[in-house]
Amino acid sequence: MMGWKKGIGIMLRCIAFVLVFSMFFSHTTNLLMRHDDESNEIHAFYGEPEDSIDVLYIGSSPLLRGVSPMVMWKEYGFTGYVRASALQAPAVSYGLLAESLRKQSPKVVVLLCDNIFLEYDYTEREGDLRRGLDGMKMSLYKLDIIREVTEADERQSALSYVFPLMRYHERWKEIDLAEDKPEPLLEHSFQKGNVFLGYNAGLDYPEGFMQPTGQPAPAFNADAQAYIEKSIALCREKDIPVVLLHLPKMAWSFEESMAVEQFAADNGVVYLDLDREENRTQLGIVPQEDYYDKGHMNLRGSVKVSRWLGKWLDERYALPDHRDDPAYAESWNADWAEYARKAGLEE
Amino acid sequence: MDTEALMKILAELRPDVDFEENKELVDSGELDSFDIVSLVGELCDAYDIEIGADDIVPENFNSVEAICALITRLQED
Amino acid sequence: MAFTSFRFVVFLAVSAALYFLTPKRCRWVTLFVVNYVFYFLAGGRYFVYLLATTLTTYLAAVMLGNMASKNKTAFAEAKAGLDKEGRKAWKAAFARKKRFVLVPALLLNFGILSILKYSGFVCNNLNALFARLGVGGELPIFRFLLPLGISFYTFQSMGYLIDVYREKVEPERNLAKLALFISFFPQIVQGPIGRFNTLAEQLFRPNEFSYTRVKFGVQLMLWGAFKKMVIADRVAVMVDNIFGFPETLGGCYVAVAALGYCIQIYGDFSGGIDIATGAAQIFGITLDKNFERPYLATSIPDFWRRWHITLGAWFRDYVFYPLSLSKFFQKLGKAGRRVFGNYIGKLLPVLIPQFIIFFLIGIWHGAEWKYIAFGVYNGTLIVLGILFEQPLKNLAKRLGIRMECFSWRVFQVLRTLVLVALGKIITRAPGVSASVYMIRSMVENWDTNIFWEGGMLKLGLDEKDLWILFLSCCALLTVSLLQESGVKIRETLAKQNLYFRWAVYLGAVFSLVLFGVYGLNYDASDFIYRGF
Repeated sequence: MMGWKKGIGIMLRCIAFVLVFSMFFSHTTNLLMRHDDESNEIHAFYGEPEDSIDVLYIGSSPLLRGVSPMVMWKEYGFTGYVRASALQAPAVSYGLLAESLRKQSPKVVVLLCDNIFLEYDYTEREGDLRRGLDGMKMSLYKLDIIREVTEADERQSALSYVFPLMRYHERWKEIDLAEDKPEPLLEHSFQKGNVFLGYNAGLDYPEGFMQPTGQPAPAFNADAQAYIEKSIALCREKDIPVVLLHLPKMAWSFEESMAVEQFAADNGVVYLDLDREENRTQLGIVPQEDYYDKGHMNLRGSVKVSRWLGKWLDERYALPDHRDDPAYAESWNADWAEYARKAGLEE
Repeated sequence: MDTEALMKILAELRPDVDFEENKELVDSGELDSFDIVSLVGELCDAYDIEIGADDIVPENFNSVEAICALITRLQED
Repeated sequence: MAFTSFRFVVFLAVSAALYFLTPKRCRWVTLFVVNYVFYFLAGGRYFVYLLATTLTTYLAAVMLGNMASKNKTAFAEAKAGLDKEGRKAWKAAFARKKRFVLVPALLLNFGILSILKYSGFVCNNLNALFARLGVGGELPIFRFLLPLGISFYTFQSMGYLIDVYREKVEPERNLAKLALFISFFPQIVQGPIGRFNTLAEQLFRPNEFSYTRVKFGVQLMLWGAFKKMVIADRVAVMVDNIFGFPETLGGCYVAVAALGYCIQIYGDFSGGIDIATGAAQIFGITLDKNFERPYLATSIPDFWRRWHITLGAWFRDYVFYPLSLSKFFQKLGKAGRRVFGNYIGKLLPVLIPQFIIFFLIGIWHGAEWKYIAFGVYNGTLIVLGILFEQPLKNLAKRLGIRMECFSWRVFQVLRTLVLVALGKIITRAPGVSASVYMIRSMVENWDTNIFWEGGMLKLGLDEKDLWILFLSCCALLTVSLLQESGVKIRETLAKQNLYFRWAVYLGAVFSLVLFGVYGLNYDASDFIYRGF
């Protein structure tokens, strides 16, 4: 039997080694991890002070490109954050929402509803899953998502989601040690999850856009529907109103719009469809100018959408104006300045 | 027992091995399985004994003394 | 549960913790339970085979033990009244009696193994034969999935049974203890094949926790994982690409593939054994050595003494000695001396059993013609080596070649490596005819553009991968040479100062994490030896 003193010495040495090891490990992770805007933006959400976000937006890329909390801050003075990623899996959306609501108590939650029709195949969408998950801190919610993904696709390992280095380890080949510096995930975002794009695709609406075709609407995907219902239930439990949102997108139909409206009514939440004729007119969307591609607004479109949507939210939910609140003003005004500069808007 | 005859057999089998000194003939790899089989054949003829596969363990062949002991035991049985 | 999986690491850590937390008296029980949980998790459906082998081995061994003790008292009483011939007759009669127990047990267990492993092969070939002979009828072919580790645990338990039969070990009368001996989880998947007299006692006794030993165990496991994940799995990409297209690539490619496959299979197999040995060491159990730097062997027999040692030793003790010392072969030897003269005659009882052993080792690797060809190839090399040993020595003497020097040793090592590599082509190529084609192209079509025209880079590994492969092989060679000259790596490392040690540990872990071939876009190739 070894003596106590010796035993404690060994224990301390092991702990010290584990610490040193973890340091190297996270350093290497930061060096090799693939950084997407989405993971950075999703991660920077943790940098927002507790209970400081008035509107929380969750969903896929149309939100990421199309909704700018900074524009709404400037115009109406309420705060918002977009936790969006390209083709966000319904499970990830739910996890992000549930996790966010532990630290924030928004006045409204806005869920992008387009993906309710989408069959989400985990085996085909690893990249999109990573975009959503790599920026998310470890939590029971994240573990639930990981379990669901790895059960559906046994090629993917849970370990590689817990330690992303296990997934990106082969990138040592691409790294130039002289050039590339370890880059931790973003801690503070000036654009609050809105990664805008300047390009203008110069598109036109397809023929008969948003006109009834007489065809039945496609069916909802059962999993997606279940997760949206779960999200709504969670918000109801916390007494937070939910808006199901559809942002301008050329691949959308009258029938789909009606189906989601019915779904919203059944679940007792508000549905807002920005492709409906009456909303489009008010927004003043010009298809030749405001689209980045068929599915996403460009910067110009996003500013139009955000101005209109901000007003709509502000009026409907009587959101607070923090512009003169010293607890907000400094940080948010500085972020606005940077956003305006990067976006080329007037300060 | 007649050690001289044994030494003669051994020397004929492997003239390059120092049987007097080496006490780990098998464990050191000096005698391999081929040597053992040839040796056993010779011993059986010379001493009129039967050495079975179950007697082939390193301890019985590691040194001249061990081999003598094995032969003596088998002769007495 | 692959050895390099996270699940295995967790399983090992949990079972080691449970083991050392158990009161000393019951530690072996914990180990037993852990083994069965492992086997259940890894290949649950096939439990019945393991249980059948355990039970039959147990019963046969206990019966043999009882017979032996009864015989002892009876013989002691009768001994005085018997002359030498009488004693001999008594022994022979008793041996015959014991064989009535031993032989059915052996037949049953090796029978299960053969049916699962070889029935498909045999029926296929019989069907082909029937078709050629124009005989109607076709044998049905069953495809069995092999229970995890069946070759290994069958050999281990049958070795034990033969030891009991030979009265070398006392039979284990506690069924759970015997089950523990047969199912020790680090070794059940791919060996090393343990012996009762060395392994059992270590498993049954309560081992104390030792920090140094655990550390050494973990270090060995890391080294094993390095060999497997960084070296073997990396070179496998290249090897697969060449062996996948045997017709299109020239002789140089074949040579690279053969050498690559030598590295791959050694890294994979010995890496797995290192992980097993390290894992056992954590529990305070020393497994038998299975590899001793085989590619530094100076001859084919030397190679087989260093490669998969426990399998070779098993065949030597339980097949080779009984065969070559049997009356039949001893008589054959005597007859041979009259016909062929002393030199060859003396060798006959050695050579023929040796050939049989290599045939068996060949089919042990798998039920395919190429493995039989591999066995015959090795058997032939060994036989030729023995037959020509003396004449060649004489020739060298006459040519004045000095044989006690470094350069000669290097020559021997390289020569052996080439012969071994040729054998590896036989086992790795898709079939016997493909391997013949490949070996021929090494002679006839020596296409060297693999070196000059970037051919190496078209085999699935880029330049950086090749560098990693090269450097890690250098590390492997350095360690092997150090060990060959008697340096004990882990003990030497332990004497260095803390900073150096930690740098080595960190380097080891990170080279695994970064340079290991694992994760998506890569088929988690299980240890090549697992299915055997």
